[in-house]
Amino acid sequence: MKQIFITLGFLFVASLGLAQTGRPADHPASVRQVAKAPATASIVPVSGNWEMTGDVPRHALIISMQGLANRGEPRLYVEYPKDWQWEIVHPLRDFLTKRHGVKWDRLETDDADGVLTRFSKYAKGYIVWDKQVRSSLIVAFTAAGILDGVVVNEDLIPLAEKHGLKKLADFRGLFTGKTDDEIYQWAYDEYFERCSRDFYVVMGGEAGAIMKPAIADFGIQQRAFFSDLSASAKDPKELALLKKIFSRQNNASIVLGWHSYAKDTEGEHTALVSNYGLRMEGLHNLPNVSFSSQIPLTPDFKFTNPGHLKPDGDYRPKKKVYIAAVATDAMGIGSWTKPGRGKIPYAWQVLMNWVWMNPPVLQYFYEDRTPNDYFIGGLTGPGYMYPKAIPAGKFPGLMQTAGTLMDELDLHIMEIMDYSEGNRHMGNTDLTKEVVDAYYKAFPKALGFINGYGVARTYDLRGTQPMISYDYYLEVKRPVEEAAADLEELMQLNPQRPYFLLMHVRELNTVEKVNAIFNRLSEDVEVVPLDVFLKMSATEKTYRTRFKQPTDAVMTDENR
Amino acid sequence: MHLLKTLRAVAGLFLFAAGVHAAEPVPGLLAGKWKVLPELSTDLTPWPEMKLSITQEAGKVEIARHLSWGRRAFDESMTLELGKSDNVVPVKMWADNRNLGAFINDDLVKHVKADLIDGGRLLTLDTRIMLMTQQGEREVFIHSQLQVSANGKRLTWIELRSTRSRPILQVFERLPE
Repeated sequence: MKQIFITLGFLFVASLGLAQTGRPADHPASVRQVAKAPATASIVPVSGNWEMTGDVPRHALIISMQGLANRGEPRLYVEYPKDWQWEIVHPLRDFLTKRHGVKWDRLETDDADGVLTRFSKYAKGYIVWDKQVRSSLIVAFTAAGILDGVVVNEDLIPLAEKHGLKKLADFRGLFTGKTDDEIYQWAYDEYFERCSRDFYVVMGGEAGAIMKPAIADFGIQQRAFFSDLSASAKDPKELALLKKIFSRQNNASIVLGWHSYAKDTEGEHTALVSNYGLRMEGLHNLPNVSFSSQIPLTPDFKFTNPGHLKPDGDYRPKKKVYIAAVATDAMGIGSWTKPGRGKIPYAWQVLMNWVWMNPPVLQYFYEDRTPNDYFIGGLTGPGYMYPKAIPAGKFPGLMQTAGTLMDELDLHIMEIMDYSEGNRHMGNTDLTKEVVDAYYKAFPKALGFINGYGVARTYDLRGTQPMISYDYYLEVKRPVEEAAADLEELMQLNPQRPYFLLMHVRELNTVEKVNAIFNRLSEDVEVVPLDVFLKMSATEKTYRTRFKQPTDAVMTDENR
Repeated sequence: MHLLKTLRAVAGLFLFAAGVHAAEPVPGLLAGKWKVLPELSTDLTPWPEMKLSITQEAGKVEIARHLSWGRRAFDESMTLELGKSDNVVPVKMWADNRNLGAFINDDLVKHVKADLIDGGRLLTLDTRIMLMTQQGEREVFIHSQLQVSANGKRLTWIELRSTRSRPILQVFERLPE
């Protein structure tokens, strides 16, 4: 009898754990959803001035308060300007009202006083950053999450103290004359042991006089370590410290933010992240994640991505040119909200980790899709990574996580990108045979794979699963007549029919522009959905199998 | 009368000599450093900036190209013997349109014939290059002309590619030495 009670007790406790999380293993445990969205939440607009000597101090105070106030409950939403790179801010606000019934209690623009009036009780004090040392603000973000303080410069001390907050740390004069590696080494020694091993924030993007730290609320909420350390070999001391930090983070953990535009390149930083098997989740200016990560999906919603393939469909291609258009990075910062969407088939790469980082945003996109919008997984895996840079031993586990995310989101195609040896200007973005083998092994049920960001020349077909690289990259500024001439030229260069032309559309190109390009073409082309495109290309293979060759030019540290 | 006839004869000889001299290419008209004027040129995605350095010596011309976008830069050069039917030029990368899925093939060379005409004001290049695409290799023929303006301050590079339905026009201004 005693044994039965012990067993039942164990099962009861275990079930409590499931009820509390109820989340798949690929969702970080520290990111929790509330049972339902709040009936009321505060909303504070912020100005379009992101200068360090302008409104950044006030914005940093608001954002840090947001991170603390949103611990446990989504309470404060920041309304970024309409021209913010992430265009989802205003549509999400309205979606939360429409689908979740959230009523917004609106403050005035940049009303830090109003924010502190409502929420200062969630802070234990304030941290003073040094106006003369930009990096001290980044250190202050780390301290904010660990010490539960809002960040202020000396001009805002009276405001913080007006609300009963006490000084927790003061960085004025502490970092004068020091290099960034010295500053962040100090921060590492002081705070790192208390920081999250699931999240690190690279507080990069714009440098110098500008900072747009919208991701800081989530980093603070999660007690992440912040820095803008360089991943470039030209900065050996910063690189060494960054490697130490990455080596201490949990396997497959998340790197939030974006590399510094002043220090290294996207390729360098993301390659380094991949070297440690970590997952990049940009950008530095991604807003309100401390709020939206807590909002559940509505009970009536399920992620469905029906696609266009019919069980009894005939997908034998005709002797013509087939084009599939793909937009990466375009959900949230691109052309999703621009006119013309739905006129032609378009594939959209989904930020898969938003299933736990930003669930209502993904619900918004899935509910807003037209029959011509088709979603695909990416980039590369369960987050932005470069497969050639991932240690072979870590690859299967990461792709298993990616597969789980794809199942949750009803995605059947994986988009791969690798800038570890080149980019769309120099070097190459092709995949070795070993990497291709690993993808086929990891995703046996995928419809297929696409590769590149710029153009590439990795192609394969195994069974019914093709691997197709981009044959064309449409730049934002490319005039319509030149882009049409580019596609005509590709049709001349590839005379066999059917010709499968996979086109990558830079996110700010509108669907209307793409349509205008297609309307200029001389040959009978058919723009098809990506799933149909891959099905057809598997039926008649006119592309040659090719992988990255040892003799292919690569970009090295010397010519980055 | 006798002096006038002599002067006419001398003038005639002088003019004859000058005419013969004008038929020979004047070396160095294209030589110098040049910078592209994007507002007058075909969009050269993904390279918004291009510079040329052209040097000329007897029977040869060297063209060095510097393509850049922010911190990313690519340099290439070719030295051509004028009038030679086949100058074999090494090619690291076909940089001219990186947004097209077309790459230099494994031979990593192109074949160029160069001629300087019109008193050295016009350099013509006829190029054969083997490109690799998803369907295999494809030979491409390119006819180019580099023409310097009458005042020597502008260089116009026009390119016709056998696979392209529009010409490519690059207009450069001369940079001070």
